[in-house]
Amino acid sequence: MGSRLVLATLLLFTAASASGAVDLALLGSWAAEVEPEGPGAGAAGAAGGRESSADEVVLSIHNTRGPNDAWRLDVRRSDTKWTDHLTLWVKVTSAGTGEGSVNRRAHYQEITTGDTPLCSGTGDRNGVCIQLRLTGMSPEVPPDRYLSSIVYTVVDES
Amino acid sequence: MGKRVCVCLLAAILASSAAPAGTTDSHTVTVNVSAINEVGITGGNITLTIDSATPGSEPNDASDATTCDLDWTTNEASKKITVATDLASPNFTLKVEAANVTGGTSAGQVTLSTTAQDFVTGISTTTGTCDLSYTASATAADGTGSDTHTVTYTITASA
Repeated sequence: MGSRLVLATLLLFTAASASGAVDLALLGSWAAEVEPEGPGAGAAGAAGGRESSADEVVLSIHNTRGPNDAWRLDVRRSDTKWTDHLTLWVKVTSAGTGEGSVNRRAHYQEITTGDTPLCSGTGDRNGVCIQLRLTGMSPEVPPDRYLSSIVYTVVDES
Repeated sequence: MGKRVCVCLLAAILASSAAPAGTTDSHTVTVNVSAINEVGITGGNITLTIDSATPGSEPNDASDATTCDLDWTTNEASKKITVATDLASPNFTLKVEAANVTGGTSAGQVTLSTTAQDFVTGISTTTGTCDLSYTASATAADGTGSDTHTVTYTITASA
């Protein structure tokens, strides 16, 4: 009598969502020079602020799980040498290209030392442009070289 | 007698969705603030004319306190503004005083000479302004004529 081997193999495989993180890369830095502009105008002009080019910093967000994979971009300041007189501002000037989308504000927001949402989006994006602005210059700011790192963090919100 | 073997292999791989992942990148912002010491005159040139007198008295002074202002900006401490003329031997006397001063202290009325004299003192990390109040005087013995002064204001370190 033959044997009947019933081999039932049930293999249930659920593909895990990739544990790879959404990646962020950026290119750019900014140096703002504050030099003599003439009496009176030196204070007024400086107080009016310094502004970088609209694409001073360019970001790319990649390794998302597709055009509907939601993420959030946070920004904060990490000071090496700074003064409370100065305020840095940031805005996204271009949503870049790629799958998905980017939701961004049209106006500047202040960069603080804590993470603050800058924009949100979905999917991989290239060429997301960042513009910076410096305000608070006054004669009370001593001549010196002030340095701060602007840290961008992309958070996968899926 | 048969043998029945049933092999059930159930493999389930359930992977929990990865915890939200975040990556960071950063760039630097450098702000270079240079020493700024600027002084400037607004209003242009001035002409003072001495052309009258009370009989028995020296000619009347001629003055102007409204045509010109002096403005300054410094982001350094312990500064002052000095004033001097380029005319070494004037025929007549010319004086100047900082009036309605902000961002400093008037040193009072100064008789102009080729030696730089204090004009506004106590200037530190500030902007400031004042009216330039000029007074020209002549005596009857000085006769007639004209002096042309180039008056220079300089922001400099306090002694």
